[in-house]
Amino acid sequence: MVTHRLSLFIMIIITCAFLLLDRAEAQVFERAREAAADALTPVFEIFSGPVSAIRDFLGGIQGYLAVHEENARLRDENARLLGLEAEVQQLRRVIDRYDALLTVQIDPAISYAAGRVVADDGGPFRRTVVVNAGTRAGVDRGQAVIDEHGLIGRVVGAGVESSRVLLVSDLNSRIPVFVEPGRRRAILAGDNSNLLRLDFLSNVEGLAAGDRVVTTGEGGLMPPGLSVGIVAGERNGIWRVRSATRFDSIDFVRIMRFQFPREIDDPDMSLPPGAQRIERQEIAIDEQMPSPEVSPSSPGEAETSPPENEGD
Amino acid sequence: MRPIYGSSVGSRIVRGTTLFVPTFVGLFCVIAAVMPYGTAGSITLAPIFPLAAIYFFVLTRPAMMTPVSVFLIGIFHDLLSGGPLGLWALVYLASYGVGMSLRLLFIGRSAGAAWPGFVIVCALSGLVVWFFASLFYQTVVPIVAVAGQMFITAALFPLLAWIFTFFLPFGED
Repeated sequence: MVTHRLSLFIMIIITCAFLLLDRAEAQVFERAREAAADALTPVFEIFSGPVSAIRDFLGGIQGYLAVHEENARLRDENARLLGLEAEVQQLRRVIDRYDALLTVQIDPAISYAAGRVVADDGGPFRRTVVVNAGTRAGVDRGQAVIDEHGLIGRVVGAGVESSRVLLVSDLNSRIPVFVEPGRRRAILAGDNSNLLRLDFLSNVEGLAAGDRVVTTGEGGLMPPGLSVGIVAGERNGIWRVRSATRFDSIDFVRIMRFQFPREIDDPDMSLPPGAQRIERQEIAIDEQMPSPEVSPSSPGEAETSPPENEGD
Repeated sequence: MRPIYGSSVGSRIVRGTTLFVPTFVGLFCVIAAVMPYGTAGSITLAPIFPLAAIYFFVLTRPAMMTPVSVFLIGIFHDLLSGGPLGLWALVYLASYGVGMSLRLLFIGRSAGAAWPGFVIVCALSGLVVWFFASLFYQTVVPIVAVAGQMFITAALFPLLAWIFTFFLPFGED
């Protein structure tokens, strides 16, 4: 008994030392975490399959019970989106004309690494998941992770075969966002709940439920314009955002292998792969402005187009 | 399953291995704990399996569930959860201490009779993890998520204890 108590006391001391060391030097144990996740990813893949299937089955039962309400909601949403389709086409034509008029440095195409969620943190104070795609698939820290609805988080640790994703709902998550319309700047913060918090809003005037929240791209880690969620409302002076994705059933995800475009001082320098230079056109200022004609510098037609806005 | 007797090398190896069965069960419970069960709001829909295993084997096989075993299980959980290294180890060691104190009350009784003791352990563990997580992250961690998962863990203890009883015949106290 005395031996057990002494052993218990020693283990508690060692544990407290680990905690202090992890707090002071957060990267010290990161390799160990990545190695552990890498080593157990095959085990996770085996066991997470049935678990996810049961979870989705139970979720399907819940969805079946609400099928009428969901049907009505989808009908309304479909009608609204059909009405917006013509407006989107018109806006796309306007943007294409502006691209043709200006010297636009087209971002290189974004590639993706696909993966599946095989584990999560299993605890009450973090919101992270483990995805079975790592550095072997080109994954690196800081990369944005999306699903079919929008941004779900970013990579905070990448092993060879797996990577850990910090969800946007985690209390440590901070993402610079725009709230549209109006492009109000804010920081989207998580607090371990499903409703995210908008901090440091630049301007709350006119802000309303239903406004769309997208990434700004500041910092160069994430591409701009990624859909994050919809403003849910204000309570006690705090504006909340409902995420575009459902955190309780994340399954297949894509990790965006996004490279922030480098600044080019000399226009004669080579362009990033996938980009083509479009020469500036002299526009005659006249009562009737003629339609601009594009004359690409290289033979053949310019084929580049702005990257699609994922998650819209 | 009968206890393993005999002085042959094989039987001694097997007996030695069975000493680690509770530890292996605890480590397997960690893997079970990090499966993607989903959430209901902010509450993870899964019990903290290692906590139940540690409490169960502290009551029934204390010689096999030592502080070193508990520490290893906790560190393993910290590595897989991505959280602060040492947090779950600290929680489990605290639970071990409480479990050892309560053990005398439940000697000779069924695992179900130890359920009230486990409720106390869950409450204490919830406070410990909430306090130290808030201290580590320098913010107040929402206690609803902690309380919710501890409630689920306490509620499912009889079922988990019934599963763990299948591993009791391995070795002796």
